[in-house]
Amino acid sequence: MPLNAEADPDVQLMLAVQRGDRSAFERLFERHVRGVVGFAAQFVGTRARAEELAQDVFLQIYRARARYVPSARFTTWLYRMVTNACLSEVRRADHRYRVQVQDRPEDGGPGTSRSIPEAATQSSEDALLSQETLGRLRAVLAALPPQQRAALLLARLEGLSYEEVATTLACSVAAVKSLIHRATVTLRDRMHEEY
Amino acid sequence: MSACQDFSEDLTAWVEEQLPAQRWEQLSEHVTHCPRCAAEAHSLRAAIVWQQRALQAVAALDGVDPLALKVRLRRELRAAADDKAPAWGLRAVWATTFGRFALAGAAVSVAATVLLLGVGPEMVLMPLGLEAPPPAVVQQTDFFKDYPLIERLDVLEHFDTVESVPLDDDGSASQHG
Repeated sequence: MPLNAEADPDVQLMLAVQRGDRSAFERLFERHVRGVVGFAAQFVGTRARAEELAQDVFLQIYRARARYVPSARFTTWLYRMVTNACLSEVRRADHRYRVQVQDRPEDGGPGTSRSIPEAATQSSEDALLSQETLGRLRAVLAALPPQQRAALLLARLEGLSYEEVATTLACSVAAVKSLIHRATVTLRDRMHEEY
Repeated sequence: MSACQDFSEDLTAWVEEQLPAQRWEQLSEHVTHCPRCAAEAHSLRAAIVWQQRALQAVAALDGVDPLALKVRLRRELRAAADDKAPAWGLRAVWATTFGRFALAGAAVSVAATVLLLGVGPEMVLMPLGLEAPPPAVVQQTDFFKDYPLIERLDVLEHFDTVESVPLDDDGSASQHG
């Protein structure tokens, strides 16, 4: 996709950050932090860890602002960093995928625990997607190879084109096509009774 | 390889219109005439629509509070800025491990020089320009000129020949000796 920097408000904000505008950085953060945390939570399994990863990624962006070149959409650059952070996290030897969200006391509840599907259902207006369904979907997602999971989420959740997914994952468009197809078929075959 | 096998991996990309135009046309032609692939494409389309909706629901975490996260981010940025605050002079050198070793080494060298030479600290500080020489030195600098003859005494073997080195009128070592 040819870049039209003028058409991407995020690129304009990032260029303002590069010129030293801290408020532009905060606006970028506000626009994308929910999406980044939601995306990261599918990899790391806990909201608290996903928030930490999001913080780390935005700090990286701020530190790398001088080197930013608007050669792609801002979200492509952003999710490249997020995906790399998530893939590093799941490759860590001590990583264990956890479905439960352990809210830390400083996050509001004294050690309270609630599942991500429950949290998701609260925000979903679609009553057909039950907690049980979303819980199973999360389990199937978690069982996908990390590259397939990343490609699928980038395309379906963030709406990136295959070419943008390829840029984000640093692989070919042909590889992305294969990753997304396999993930789509796996999810379909394991969740087919849901639709 | 049958046509169906050849096209099967591209069906998802075909449904999502993510194929190059020529390939997309080829698949469209094939799907029109192949009931099996048409059914598979129909199934994939339904799966994609469901997955988009379900994944949005899974990722929509009500508990994410951008404002609270922003406050945390500001704190992190402040801490990062403090870490990067520039230090100047000896503080800047002392701030690095290498700088600490270098400064400690320099201090030890100066102290060792003073002790080994058995002289006062002024003999170290004066050549470094950190202490002014005595008035007598300032007034009669000729007494302290470094003559070539004396310069040649920096190597022990020159002691044997020191008397045979004649001096020119200006005090420099003779070039024809």
